[in-house]
Amino acid sequence: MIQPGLSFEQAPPLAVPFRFFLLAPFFLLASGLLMLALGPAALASRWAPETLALTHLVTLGFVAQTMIGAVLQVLPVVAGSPVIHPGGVALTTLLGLNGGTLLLVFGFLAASPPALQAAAALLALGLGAVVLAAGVAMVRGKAAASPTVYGLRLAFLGLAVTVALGVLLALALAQGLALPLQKVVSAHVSWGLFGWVLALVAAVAYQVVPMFQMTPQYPQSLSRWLLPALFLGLSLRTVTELFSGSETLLHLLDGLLGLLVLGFGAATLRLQQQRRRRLRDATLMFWQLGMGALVLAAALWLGGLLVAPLAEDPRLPLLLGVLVLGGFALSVINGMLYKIVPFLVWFHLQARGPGKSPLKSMKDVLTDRMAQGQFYTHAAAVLLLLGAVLAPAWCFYPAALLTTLSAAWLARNLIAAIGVYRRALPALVAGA
Amino acid sequence: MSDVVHVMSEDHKVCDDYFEQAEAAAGSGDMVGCAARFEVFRGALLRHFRQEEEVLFPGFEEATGNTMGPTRMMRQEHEMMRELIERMRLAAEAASAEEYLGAADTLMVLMQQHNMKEEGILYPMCDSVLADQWGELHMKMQDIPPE
Repeated sequence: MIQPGLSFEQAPPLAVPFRFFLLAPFFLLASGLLMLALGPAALASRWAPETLALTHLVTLGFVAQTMIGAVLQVLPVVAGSPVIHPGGVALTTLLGLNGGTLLLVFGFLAASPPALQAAAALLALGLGAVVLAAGVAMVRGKAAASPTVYGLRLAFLGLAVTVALGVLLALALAQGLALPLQKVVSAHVSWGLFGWVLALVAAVAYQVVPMFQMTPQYPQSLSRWLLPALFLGLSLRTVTELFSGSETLLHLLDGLLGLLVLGFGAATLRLQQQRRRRLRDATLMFWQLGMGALVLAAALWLGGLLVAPLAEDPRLPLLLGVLVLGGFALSVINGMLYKIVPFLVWFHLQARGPGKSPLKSMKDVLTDRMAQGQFYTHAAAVLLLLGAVLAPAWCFYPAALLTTLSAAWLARNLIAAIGVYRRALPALVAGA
Repeated sequence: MSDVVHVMSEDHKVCDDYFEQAEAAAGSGDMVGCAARFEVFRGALLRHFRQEEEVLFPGFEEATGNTMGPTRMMRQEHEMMRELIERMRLAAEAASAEEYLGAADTLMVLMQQHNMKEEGILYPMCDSVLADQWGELHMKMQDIPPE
């Protein structure tokens, strides 16, 4: 006889995801300030230490931080199994991820081998803990198998590969190991952006895009095969690049990956156009921007494979980086935060008992006007960042300024949301 | 297919449709149309709750001997949704589109994450423990009149 679910009872306390959500915008803020401090050198080349520092502030400090916070929240629901010791796992990850990110950034900027080594250890610990905990929860999970559940499993596999390659790279840099650095970096980047970020976004999108906007479902052929094909492609690509070196095969695999990414972005935009809920809120605007940037990135990537001069232009990888990280990942996450955070605040106050909460709805936590204001700032920042790659003299400082402003605005909105919770709670506890 | 997963998930979709029609009316400022469509939605959703609370959940609780598990959580969320439904009813009555849309958007998120838990976890559990009684339970559920 099955033991019916203690499962979805055990959503973690509000503090677990919120610590991640509240820290994250400060890393974006730091990336904007770092751009202002470093000047155009920050975006000069994908290999510059300044650019690496900037990239990791965003990928680890913001992207990984928010995605992990959100996964710890939804895993009990989606996988049908709670995370064991959620408090302990969250704390280990929080300390490892934040400490490791700061040390890594310092290690890049100061070219300090001890800092890079310590960063590698902390990141391995923090991210290893969450990969392990999520892995256990998903293996034990009782949820009906769905593309979302499979997608989550693949995303954590992607995270594990990304972290392993990243730790290897940090150690290689610190100790001067003889590694084919460029090839390992290429594998690290492709697993991080596609095996982890895109896989998680797709897994979540299969559920939330049809659900919240009332669009048709993703075509089954896509939701069933996209991520397995992506992972097969990524694995073959990594093996080919590291061990066989066949340029033709690598080209073909890169083309396949580009088409898969393009397919996902285009399908999502198409579904959103067919949505039956006509209301256009901040979350939808962020997602449309994100998918648009993803489609553009994939098109540019495919263009680079076909047109040799484009491929050789050193600005191409930077443009792709801005589009995929700033345009796609940041937008999609930012948009989700505006659904998740107000809902959790409302829900946790409501759960104190019927008729007690002073909030009428999520809108009392954060108005759509504040969220939309930040959206326009963010969208302008992304455009200017693209400009900063192409015409640094004109666009670099405005881009840095708007990036900083958008991050500060996001931080302000999230802090205001938690403030609503803090102010309402004492009366509810006293009256209970 | 007429098991718990399919029958009850289908009913979620029907409720979603009614929800969207009422919301679309409010979004275009037609609060008279909204109020009429809202009543259809409200009737369908409250009936769905009663089918679960009076027939399906007790069946599950009896079969598993567990009244403190997932069904308790689902009942709590039903209560939260009833409160939002009441706010929407008052807003529709007062022809306040803004109030209506705020409560409706919140209900939408609550309802969808609730449905996800039922469709992904609770209904499949029901199918595995209630296979023998489902025909009888299904008839009892159909006897519950619309609100």
